[in-house]
Amino acid sequence: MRSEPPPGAPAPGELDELLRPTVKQREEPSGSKRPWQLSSQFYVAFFGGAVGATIIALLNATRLGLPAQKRWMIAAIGVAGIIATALVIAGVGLDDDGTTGTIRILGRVVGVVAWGGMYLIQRSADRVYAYRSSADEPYAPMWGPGIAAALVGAAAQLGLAGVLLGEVG
Amino acid sequence: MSELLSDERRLAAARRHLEIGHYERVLEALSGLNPETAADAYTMRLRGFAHAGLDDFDSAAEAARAGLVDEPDDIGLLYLLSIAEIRRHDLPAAEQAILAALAVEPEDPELLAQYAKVLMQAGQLDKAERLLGHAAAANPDSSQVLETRIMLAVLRHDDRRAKALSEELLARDPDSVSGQQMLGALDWNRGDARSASRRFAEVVRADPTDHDAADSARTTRRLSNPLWWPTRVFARFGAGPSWIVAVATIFGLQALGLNTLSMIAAVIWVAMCVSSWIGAAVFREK
Repeated sequence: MRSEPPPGAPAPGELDELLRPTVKQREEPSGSKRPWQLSSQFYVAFFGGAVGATIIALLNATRLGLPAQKRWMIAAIGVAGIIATALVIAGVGLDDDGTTGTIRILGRVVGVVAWGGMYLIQRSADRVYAYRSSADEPYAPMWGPGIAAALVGAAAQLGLAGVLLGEVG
Repeated sequence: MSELLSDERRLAAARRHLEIGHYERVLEALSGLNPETAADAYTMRLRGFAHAGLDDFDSAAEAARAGLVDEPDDIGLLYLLSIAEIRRHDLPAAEQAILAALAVEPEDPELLAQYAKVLMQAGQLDKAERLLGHAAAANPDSSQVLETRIMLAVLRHDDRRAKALSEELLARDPDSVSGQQMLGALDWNRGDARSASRRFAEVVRADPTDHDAADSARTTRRLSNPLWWPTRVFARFGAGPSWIVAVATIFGLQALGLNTLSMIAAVIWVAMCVSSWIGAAVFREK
């Protein structure tokens, strides 16, 4: 039983190019600079919508050392999430009793869906970090930043509703 | 002459101990060598690998560097230095060492696999994959190359591929400890605690001194108890997706006017969360 060569196997002659040094020293994050558990970001997305999810995912991407291109991808998903939230608010509007119950729930759904995309971008770097880390507790607790991001996200969502609907109950 | 014979005997004993993983005895055997033999590159290699086996990577790197003074192109010492520098978190030094070895033997699959490990630690997964392509082409039967490909698949979050490669490794070598270990971890990722426990028990049978595997075997055996099924659900699907399904179910039932069912779903969900939190705390303490 033998596996096929791994996908993307290089052509002969490429080896010289591959055997050039490319590794740079990177400090292992410690203390409050450690990344957060990816699954914990779900709660921020749930309570803080697309804005909260984007804030916490971008901060975590920096801690994981993700390249700029991937951080831009997270930001782009965040912007798409905010646009989707605005469309939901404008399309659904206030409930019959003048409250924002339905748009709050739908805002959370949009936030969680957006976070799903951000999770996919971060997950390989997260495993590499866990593979490399020798710390007993490789991840930092997310209470403070998580609650702050969720509050900012919820406030942003409320502000968006106020701007788009004129009044918020 | 008798001193030379004595040194040869000590080196032979050290080598035998190294092969069977008795690292402290390697160092004991080397401690009685005459100073000239003790500083020899071959002795330094034995000493360095023994230190690495004892997880003393500072001493392993020191021994490798001391040996390289006399034999700067010694592939074994360069390979050892690369392993030690990875564990000392000096990835540029690890890369420099393995590239020096590859300058001597550019097509060696084990050296290419070791360089791929350095790159994986640095997060350069695409380059690691291309190197492993070369390594696998050079020696399709190398277990070390296959093990590195398994780790790469895990880092890429491609668990299906990691499982297939691990099964291939076990088909080639049914006693492969790393194959059992990887399948155990993948089984646990799927929430299959019973199967994971069996895999880790196999690892412990092969190496009773592997405390990490023994801990994993114990924990997964306890988690296979029906009492802890919520913990297995979270392990299988992850906290995020589990919450999404739960919230969708609770709110969905409520939206359909099935308030009683929604309430029951909410109570079950809270009980699952509490059980998993207790489980996590209990097993972390143990």
